[in-house]
Amino acid sequence: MSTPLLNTPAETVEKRVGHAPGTGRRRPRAFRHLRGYMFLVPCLIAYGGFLIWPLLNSLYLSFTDWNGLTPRMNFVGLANYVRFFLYDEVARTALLNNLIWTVATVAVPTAIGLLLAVALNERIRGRLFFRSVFYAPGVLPLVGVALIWSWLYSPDFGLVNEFLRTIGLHDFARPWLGDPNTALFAVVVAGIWVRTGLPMLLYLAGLQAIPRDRYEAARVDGAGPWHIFRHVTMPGLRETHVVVISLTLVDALKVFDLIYAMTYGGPGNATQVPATWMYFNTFQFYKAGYGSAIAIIIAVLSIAVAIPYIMILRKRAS
Amino acid sequence: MTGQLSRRGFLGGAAGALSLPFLSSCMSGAQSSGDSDLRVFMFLTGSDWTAFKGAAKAYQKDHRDHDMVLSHLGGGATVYLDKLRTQLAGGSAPDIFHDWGGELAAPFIRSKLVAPLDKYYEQYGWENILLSDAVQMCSMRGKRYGVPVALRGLGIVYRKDIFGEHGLGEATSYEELEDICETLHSAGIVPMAVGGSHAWHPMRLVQFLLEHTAGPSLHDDLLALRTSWKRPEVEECFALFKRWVDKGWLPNGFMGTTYDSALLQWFQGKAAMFPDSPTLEGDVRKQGIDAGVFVFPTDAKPPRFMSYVEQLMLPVTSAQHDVAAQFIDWYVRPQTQQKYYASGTATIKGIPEDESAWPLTYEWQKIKKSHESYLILDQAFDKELANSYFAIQAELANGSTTPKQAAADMQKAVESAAS
Repeated sequence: MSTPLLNTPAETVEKRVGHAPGTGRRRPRAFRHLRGYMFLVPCLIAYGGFLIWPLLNSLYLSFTDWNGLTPRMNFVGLANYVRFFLYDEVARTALLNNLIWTVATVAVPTAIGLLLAVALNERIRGRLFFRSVFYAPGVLPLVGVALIWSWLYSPDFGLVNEFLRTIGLHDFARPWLGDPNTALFAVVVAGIWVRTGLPMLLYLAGLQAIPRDRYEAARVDGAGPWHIFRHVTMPGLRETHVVVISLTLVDALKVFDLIYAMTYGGPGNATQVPATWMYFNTFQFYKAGYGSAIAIIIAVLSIAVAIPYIMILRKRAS
Repeated sequence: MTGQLSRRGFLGGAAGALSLPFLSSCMSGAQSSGDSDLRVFMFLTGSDWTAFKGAAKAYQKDHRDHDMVLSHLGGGATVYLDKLRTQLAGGSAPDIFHDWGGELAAPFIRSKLVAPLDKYYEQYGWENILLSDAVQMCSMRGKRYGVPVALRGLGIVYRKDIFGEHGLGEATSYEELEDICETLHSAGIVPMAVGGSHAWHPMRLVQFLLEHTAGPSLHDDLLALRTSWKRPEVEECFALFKRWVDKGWLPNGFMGTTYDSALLQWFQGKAAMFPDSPTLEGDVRKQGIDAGVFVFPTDAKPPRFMSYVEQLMLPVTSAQHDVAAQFIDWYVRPQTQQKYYASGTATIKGIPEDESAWPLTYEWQKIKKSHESYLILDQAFDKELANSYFAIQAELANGSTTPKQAAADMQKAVESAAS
């Protein structure tokens, strides 16, 4: 019988190399862990090369006036950050829009996803079909989603306005994406539609993990559906909440694609968010230094908002 | 086979997986094109692209030393320039690329990514065959960086069937144009189809109006930022634009729709006029639409039309400059242009005009002889200033600013760009 090389208890390894604890020459501490580190090397190289290095490079670029086209650049210190927070009016609009987007696309899809998961966790007819239907928007390419919703919102022949006119609400029909007062909310609705499937799926998985006997015990004790949901389901989903909220939160903070494809940040700059404004500056205005500063701000904001929240939830969950 | 993963196997597999992207990128780079290929990247679409491909194929027949590798990307300046910029800055530039003029090409020139072509102008005598206006629009800091292949004029392309139905003719004054709009609007037809989600299409209308209110000389000064935008003529222009919106002469919600949606609306006969170039002719013909074209009547003296140039450029990094210049020389010769240029907006002197094949273009060529031209705004402004202008235009359209405030904001944007 061969001894497995992976998952081998430490004691066995010591015996195989002939050094029983305390009886012979021991390797230096760092060397003893070398093999373990060797396993990490491929991942560390990939992580360093594809994440840490670009991040550090972006950080460096954010202190320059690089135009993104030539190797020439000048060090400008914190000027790009000062510009973003003090002088750039569009940046303020973008931050506010991102806040609205984040609140809406975290809270609503999470709530709807939870409700759908609870409903579809019951033994109802066609539940597999409904699960697929509700999850389907999540697998569509976002550009496709943007196209679908742009047509739905079309001022003249879009389904949304047609429906409003059909039911007599003519005054409510409007150019949803062309009006700065409604454009962001119109995109938010598309965002909610596409982002509800994932929370539903995660909550469904979480619900499966809650032992059935807790529900039975609660029923025996006379608990109604609301009490069961509040005192059995919700506590049982604590770990899932952490996953769902953290994923949707980070996703919301770096929103780009739907807004880019549906409104291009417009009309005017009414629907700009930091990520689209970063794109405009870096690739349209050839201000890669400033664009990098916006990218760093997005990263810092994402970490600053998401990490404490996740830590609090984790603490509560444990 | 034990089913257990050995340490060596794991590390080998991980190393292999890690090196795969590098290997594949090296291989794909090697396979993408040969060293002697002449790679051409264009933004032509539709009949123009078909015609260009035909020209390249014909050229290949007699020049077999270099394979021509053609690629193109539609979607307008935003999409095309994104890809072009990546190619130029990323070291995989094509040997010949297509670009617009003015500030759309200027960042590449300023960044020294484009080769000056003065040497080839002298060698091939291009000055003698190309329109001097067009060559001028491809020059910067006294050097010629591009070879103009289209000088597109922008006017009002209209549906003759709809105009005929309502007893309308081509407008010869701004007042007449407003009357036409009123008649069409009363008949339930959208007078002018524009799609503003990328803002540049309604910009054409605003610039027509600026030519009307400011006149040629002031208009040129405004575009060159030689004078303040905070002035009555600009306020009047913005007020007129608002009037077009409020009167319903533009499609409902046009700021949220695309150029393509607007064109579709015009193709479907829901709109009567479309601000564009006669280069639309290929598609108009395909749709079987009886169309005409006239210059937006601005009442300005001298009469002018809006124009922009398209050019072929060579990246500094290409090793095929001589071969590329040879192809360009063949392409811009009158006999080639006459045969292969689809929409007849060539920049070559003395091409015979073919009224039966390209009636719209023929009409426009006649207009060009009696009109001067002015540069389109988004080629006159750098992209950041153009974006500020677009934001002001959007605020005007939705009524969240007044014409007076918009003019003041525009001047503020100009000063901010200058600083």
